[in-house]
Amino acid sequence: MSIKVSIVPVTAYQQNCSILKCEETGRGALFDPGGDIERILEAVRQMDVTLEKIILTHGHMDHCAASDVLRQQLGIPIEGPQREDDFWISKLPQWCQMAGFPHADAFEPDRWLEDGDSVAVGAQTLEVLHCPGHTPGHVVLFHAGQQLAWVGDVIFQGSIGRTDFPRGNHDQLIHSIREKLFRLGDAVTFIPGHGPTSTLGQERQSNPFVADARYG
Amino acid sequence: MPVMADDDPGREALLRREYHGQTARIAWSELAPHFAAGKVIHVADELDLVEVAVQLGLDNVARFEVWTASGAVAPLSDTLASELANENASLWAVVAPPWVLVQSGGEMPITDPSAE
Repeated sequence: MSIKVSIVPVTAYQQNCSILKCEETGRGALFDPGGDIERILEAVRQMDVTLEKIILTHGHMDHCAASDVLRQQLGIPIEGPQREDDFWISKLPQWCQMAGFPHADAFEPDRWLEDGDSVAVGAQTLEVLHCPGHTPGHVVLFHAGQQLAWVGDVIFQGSIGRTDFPRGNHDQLIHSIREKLFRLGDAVTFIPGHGPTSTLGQERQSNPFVADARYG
Repeated sequence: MPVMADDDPGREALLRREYHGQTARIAWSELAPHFAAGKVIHVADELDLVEVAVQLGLDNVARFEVWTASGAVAPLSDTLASELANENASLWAVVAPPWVLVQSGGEMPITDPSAE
């Protein structure tokens, strides 16, 4: 069973919204639609995928501000993040105004995700890992068959997510990366919330914030 | 015992030349993705941007402890980011991996790469 993934950088922050298509069923999911709805929908058309859900890694505006509009427009549910990010989503209008983003209403996902949950997309299954630190309710989605993870703003190529936000926690983030993500295996490729993809093995070697050389 | 910076004068001169040559003004719209990824560090106007980059390259922990304690070197705040976004301001910037150091003052950083 194969999958196809397309990345669409959106918003002024060039957030990596991505589209997952299950090749077996033609059905798919949208990850972290932060804005630029028309660009996202054009990519969906080009992939010829029937969206069945929106999946959110966390509640920051650049990752979720277009979610509710797309939910209503497409008639599909929102799954994720973990419930602890409710305080971010409920303040979405204020954060958008403060950062100069287009207005977005607060919303409630159709399903909050928990560590160990599974998310179905077509015939595919994604595993849920609760990885707090950048936000308290941040989740990572992992496709074991393709060794591919959507990590949001937990880790980037050569860097890690900010922890200076309300309820951010640096130690918790490091723990999430080293004790949860890295255990998925060096061969796992990840799609971060910003910037290029990488592998967990590469980051274990060279990421100055979480490399083995720093933590042994 | 305090951690000392790399005191190789050749390396310091090399870093100064490199960072000076790579320092330029850049629009906020180009910096915003790096800000979102938590990589943008604001350097107060009273400091020499290139000198800060050089000391980062030399891993000068002692200097950085002073700068960060005073707030002269700090992650760019959301409040300042909002102001910069509203103005689409341009800033002096230099990439010192994994960070992007920025300064909002109008003058070219004062470091003279030939003065070693």
